Amino acid sequence: MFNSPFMALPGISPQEFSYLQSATTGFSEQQLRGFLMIYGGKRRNPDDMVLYCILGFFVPGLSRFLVNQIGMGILYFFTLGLCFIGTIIDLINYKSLAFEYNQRMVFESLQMVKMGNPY
Amino acid sequence: MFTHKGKIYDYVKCNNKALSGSKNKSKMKTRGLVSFELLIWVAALILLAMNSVPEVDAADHFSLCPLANLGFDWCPGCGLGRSLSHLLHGEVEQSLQMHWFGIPALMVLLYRIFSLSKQELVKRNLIRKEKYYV
Repeated sequence: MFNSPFMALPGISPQEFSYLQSATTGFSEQQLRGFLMIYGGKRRNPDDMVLYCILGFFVPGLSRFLVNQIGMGILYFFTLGLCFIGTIIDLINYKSLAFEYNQRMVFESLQMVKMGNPY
Repeated sequence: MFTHKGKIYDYVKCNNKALSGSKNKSKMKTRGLVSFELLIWVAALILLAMNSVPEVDAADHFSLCPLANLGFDWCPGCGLGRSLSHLLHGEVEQSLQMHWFGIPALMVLLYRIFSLSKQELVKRNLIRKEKYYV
């Protein structure tokens, strides 16, 4: 487990690790490197999400925009983060917000890797 | 969000987890409850639908809002809760009067609840299926 290239991803949780491992079963070395390059660029570090959530007190909805939830982002933006209540919820919930986004990004990067390597 | 392939990956993940040790079985059950965010949004909408429709201004009724309790008179989201409450009681005109963003807000929240519960259902199905493989 500690030799795995996934451990180089900052702030990775066991949950995300096992998700990545099962998603990339049967990948060749080259495919894995390609996948990591794409995914590393796309993913959001949960530790950074906390900071974005705190920043959300000044720019409401920032955390929602960053995880591609445009509708919720606009709702937060126009209502001062549902009068700060929504922002506090995000602050509590930051890990699952990041993991939810990362799961989608795993799927997107998988598709990109498969498109890039036609064999 | 998940297509068929995503489901397979999820499913493999759950299997791996189950194989890795029987000790965490009870933990998985608790994690398999409901996600925190889903709980919050559903509870919020139910409470808004159940309370009596407020007629008064924000200033002179009890409020949960931290900003109002801090003493701010106005914020861009002020009246949104009352607007949603009116909307859930079927009074569209009053809802628009309270806050114009009430209808879009309800749609956004319902969409979020929908997508969260979809994820939840996928997760539950996987956990249920997994029992056959352990």
